[in-house]
Amino acid sequence: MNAPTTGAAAAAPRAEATRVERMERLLGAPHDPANPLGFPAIAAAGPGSPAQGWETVLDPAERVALFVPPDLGGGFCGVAELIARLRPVYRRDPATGRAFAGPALARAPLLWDEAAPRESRLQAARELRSERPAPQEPPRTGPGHPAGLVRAAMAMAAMDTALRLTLDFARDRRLYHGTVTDLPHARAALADAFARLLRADALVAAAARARPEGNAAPTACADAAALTDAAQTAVSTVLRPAVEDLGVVLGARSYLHEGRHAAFARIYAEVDALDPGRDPSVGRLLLRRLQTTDAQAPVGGALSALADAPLWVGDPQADRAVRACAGLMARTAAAARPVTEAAPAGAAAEEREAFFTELADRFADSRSFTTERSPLLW
Amino acid sequence: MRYPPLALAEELEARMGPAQAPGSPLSYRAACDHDDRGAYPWQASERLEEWGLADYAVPAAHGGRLEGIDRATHMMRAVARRDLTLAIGHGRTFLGAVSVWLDGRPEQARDLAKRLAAGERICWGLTERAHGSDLLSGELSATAEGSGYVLDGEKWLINGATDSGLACVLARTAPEAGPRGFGAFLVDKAELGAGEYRCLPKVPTYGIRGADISGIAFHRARLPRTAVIGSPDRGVETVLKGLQLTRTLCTALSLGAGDSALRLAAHAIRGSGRAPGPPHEAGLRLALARAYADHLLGEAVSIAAARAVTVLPGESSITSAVAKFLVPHTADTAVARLAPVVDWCAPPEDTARAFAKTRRDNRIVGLFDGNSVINQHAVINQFPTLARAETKQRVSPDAGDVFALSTPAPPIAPERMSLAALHGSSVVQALPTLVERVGAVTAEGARPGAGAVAEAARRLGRAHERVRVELAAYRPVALHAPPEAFDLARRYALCFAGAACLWLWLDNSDGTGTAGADSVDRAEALWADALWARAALARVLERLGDPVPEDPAAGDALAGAMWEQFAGGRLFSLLECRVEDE
Repeated sequence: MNAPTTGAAAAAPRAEATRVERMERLLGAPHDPANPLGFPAIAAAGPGSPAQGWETVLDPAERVALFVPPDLGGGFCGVAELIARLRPVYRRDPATGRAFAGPALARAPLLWDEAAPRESRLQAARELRSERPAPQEPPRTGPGHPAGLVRAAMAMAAMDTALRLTLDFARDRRLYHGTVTDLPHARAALADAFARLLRADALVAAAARARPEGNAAPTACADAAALTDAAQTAVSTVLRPAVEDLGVVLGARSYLHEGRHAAFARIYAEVDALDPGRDPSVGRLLLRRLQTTDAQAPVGGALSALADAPLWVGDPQADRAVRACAGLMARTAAAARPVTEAAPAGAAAEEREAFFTELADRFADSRSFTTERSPLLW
Repeated sequence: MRYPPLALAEELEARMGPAQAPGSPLSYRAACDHDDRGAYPWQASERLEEWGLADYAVPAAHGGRLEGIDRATHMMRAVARRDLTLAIGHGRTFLGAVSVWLDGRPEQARDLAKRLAAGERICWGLTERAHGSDLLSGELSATAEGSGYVLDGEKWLINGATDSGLACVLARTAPEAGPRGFGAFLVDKAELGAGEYRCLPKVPTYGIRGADISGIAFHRARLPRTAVIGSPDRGVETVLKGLQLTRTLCTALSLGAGDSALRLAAHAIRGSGRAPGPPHEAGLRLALARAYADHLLGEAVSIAAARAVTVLPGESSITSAVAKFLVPHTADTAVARLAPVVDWCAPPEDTARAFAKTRRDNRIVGLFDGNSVINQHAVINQFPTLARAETKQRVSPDAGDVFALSTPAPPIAPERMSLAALHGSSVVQALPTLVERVGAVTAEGARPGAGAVAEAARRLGRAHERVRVELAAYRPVALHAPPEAFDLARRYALCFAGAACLWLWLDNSDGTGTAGADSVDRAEALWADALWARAALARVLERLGDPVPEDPAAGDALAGAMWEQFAGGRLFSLLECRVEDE
């Protein structure tokens, strides 16, 4: 039985796989009460509002470095890299992420399109450099646009934290002469949420790697657009049900705006904003979901497409890694269904246990629960 | 005639006035304003007190109007339609007092009744910071000392802990705890000395933001001997019996939230410039129909459970667990399905705000007072008893009274309540008979739609048969139940829901489709062609993994019936009831 993550997936093509991401270090220790971007300070922010003082840490220079291409004076070098660098922000607090990255993602279609008029692109870059760009509704970019993929990836970052908080609670909470993680039902719920997260994120990773490095223009690769579409659908399908199921394990604390696990309620409140299915450019996905009885169907279809076609250009190692992940996802489809829906009795117990072990290992090693398994602060 | 609990709800609606009325303290707008400020809606609360809502938390034997809990359930629904914070604030009176009604001394009950009638407030202190639903781990202790008791410890996440003068708390009376190691006590803050207690700060919550969710800490607080409710070693038993009633009552909160969500979605659709009537877009109509079907399913379960807890008191440990597990779930599903619809319509701020608040508030119902895991556990713990009862297939001769809506439900009878359903659940055990009855009705040919109900009933019967087999094969585990046991409990609950729908339909519709002289006023459009029963059973069967094929015509009829109730100012219900909306 394979562990859910192969060595190949952990050794990502990026140079700093063993170092905590720069952005993570900028955000500081998550549980430090003195940290303005730590969980205690974030919990004090009003519902839906970013952490107070976030702009002094996540300033316009950071935004330019992340989103603006080099030919306009910034440091953007591809969607995969952006996802890795931006994830820490959404892991910490999606509401703050929205305030920080929202204006940039809204301008991304213009910024990243080398064929667009240069003056318009420069104007967009200037707006991002100023202190407070005017907030914008995300434009209709059409399905398959990389900005949508970035949003989907950030949703999984938020889900990472929801899962981490729930596990953090469950490991310590005593109930009926053991801990909550000793209860098979809670353990299964945690394992299932992890499986669903990995499944959706495998598609996100595949879609990100399908775009040639440095070129995020939407027409670069038709396969890339299709994978992006599939990734957004997958994320939209798993996000709310998984967060709901985690909320059941967390219990009353999933409803409180104070305490060690207060960030969970903040993530819950952001689920609609994070859900790619509510992006106007993927509105047709929404309608499709309203009409289908099998919410898993689009994901299943996208997964089988994954198994057959070559995925991207020039990265066979990543290709193997994500295929291995996707293969495991397909085999454990039963384990990945939301617990409140009809599920076959006796879904593979040993596969669930393998997921739980991997989850617990990553928690102990302070590694992300998303595909890249990168180090983080906890 | 109106279903009597709904007749009362209509009176209450009329007294509350239109939910859209500008400036009314009982409007959606007022509720949202208070919620945004984290303030309790006291003005609205006073209006309800003036009407005498608190009387329905006090037994008739002590001068109140509480008999069974069905009337309280439907009135709580009416309040919950306006504001869950308000409904929870008022419902708290019954929660705080129920232990005294069940096990208190007569003079203790009389005294409490007088105080509640005078407007005093009470809370129910069960949970603690380190122990949520695990009541037997509670650390608040009540030590016998001198002529009374000394309380030490805290209760936390208690609704009303700060603004109530009275508190009913569960406290450990024996150091070794255990099921006989706790007592229930009625605490009067006014009688405590300085420093003997302090209230803990309000906990900011995701929803019901104006509710007083706080706590109370006791430090060597001296209670008189008369503070104990019943025997000092029977506290757990009393509280568990109380929970059988309160968990069932709380399904009203889900129904109220569901009604609001549906109504606000309808407002959003109507206000979006479309042609009058239900929307043309298939996706939107389907979402409405599905949400409405789930709402009606929840209502059928709630109507049945609210009556069954006093008609079949010995079965209430199962009835309440099933109801508290299922009804919040159907409401959650319905509200979630309506959210994209409301979004799609881009409604005015008032509607969007009210819907968002309803959605936030609704989430608490599945989380508090026994969440879904607790309730599934309660069923799992009785699997051996249920398995035995299923082989006997015994159905209580009183069970039909649950579904005879024109007959009043009997009052609460504490002496007939039990912590375990020794004879299982009559409603579930009646399934094979119900399936046969539907078959017979279909063969008679006098009830339109019966054929489709019969098909659904047969599938339900097969699912029940699988449940029976699995119950018989279940071996209790020494420590912790596996996930498969939770799934079995979930399906058992769905069998209850399906059986309740079948029985409710069979006993309240007749061949000609016209109501008899003694029957209750129904929402006729929902009973024509067995529309509601087919829709509700379809939702049950989908959750059981045996879905019936989608019926677009039925979906359209359902959306149409829902719209008719909306346009006509009616409660979203199987039964007829006016509401005050605009």
